[in-house]
Amino acid sequence: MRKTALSLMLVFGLSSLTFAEMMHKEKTLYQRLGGYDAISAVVKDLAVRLVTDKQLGIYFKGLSNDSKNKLIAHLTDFVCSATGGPCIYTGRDMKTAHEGLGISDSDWNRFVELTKETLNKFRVPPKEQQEFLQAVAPLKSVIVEKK
Amino acid sequence: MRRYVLGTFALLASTGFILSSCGGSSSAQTPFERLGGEQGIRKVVSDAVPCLATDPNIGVFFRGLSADSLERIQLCLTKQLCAAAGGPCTYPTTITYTSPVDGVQRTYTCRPMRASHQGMLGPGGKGIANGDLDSFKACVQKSMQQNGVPSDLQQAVLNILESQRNDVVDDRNK
Repeated sequence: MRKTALSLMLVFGLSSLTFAEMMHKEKTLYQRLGGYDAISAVVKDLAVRLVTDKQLGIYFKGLSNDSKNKLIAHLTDFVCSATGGPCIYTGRDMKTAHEGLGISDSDWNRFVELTKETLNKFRVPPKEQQEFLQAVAPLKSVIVEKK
Repeated sequence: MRRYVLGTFALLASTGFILSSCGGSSSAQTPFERLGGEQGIRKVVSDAVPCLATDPNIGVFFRGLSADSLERIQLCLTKQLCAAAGGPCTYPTTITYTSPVDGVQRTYTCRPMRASHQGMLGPGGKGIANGDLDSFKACVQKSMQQNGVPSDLQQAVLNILESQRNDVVDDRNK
């Protein structure tokens, strides 16, 4: 009897704690951005900007439609995963995928600008925009080769 | 033919490129064998890269390839020529390769020519033009000349590349 009561207390205690945690825990960036479909739309919009950009477009001129689709699929998985979503990125690590391209600081800054344009278009709030860009920022050191 | 091989042998010896081995008549050998197998083909492909990457017409198509991607594309072209020249390769195929960037083994699927070429933008936004394939062939031919490939064998390789014109040249340019 006593043992049962203790067990019950434990169970309730634990479950209420979990519940409280769930209530106070902030949603992931993935959820706040609107989940997979929203991220997919954001990536596609950004991809069009990149491919048609005067400065960065040069890196995409030799990609077939199939290659561009693969890139978009990889990028979607990457962003989904990096923002706390339920995706697994199976592409190459960022260093391997970019080394040899000779990407400059200026290229990186242009990429950030285009990303902001996309996030603005989708009316992503400033807080989420900042978190998104913070999540991307550490990649600069492995992607940029030229100062 | 034999004189040609002998004549260029001294020149090529330092490169380590072995032409179709001395024994056996060339007519009994497949183009694959005469090219020196996958290793010989890879050499021809690798030596074409500087020409391709700096070509005024088609260099732009290679500008967006990382060192890792450039390795993949060379291995895929090698597999493709291997298959078409009577070697023991299939194409399309999945390859395992060691990345020149970090030495890690990765796998990659070499896609059919149509999937890997249609829809590029290129300088004019309409992808690969007929003349672009000619430029590509010229670079490969130059590499074969550098490597002492006999002219009939050069022609066989160029014919393989030519046979892909319909898949490689963008449909928008037809």
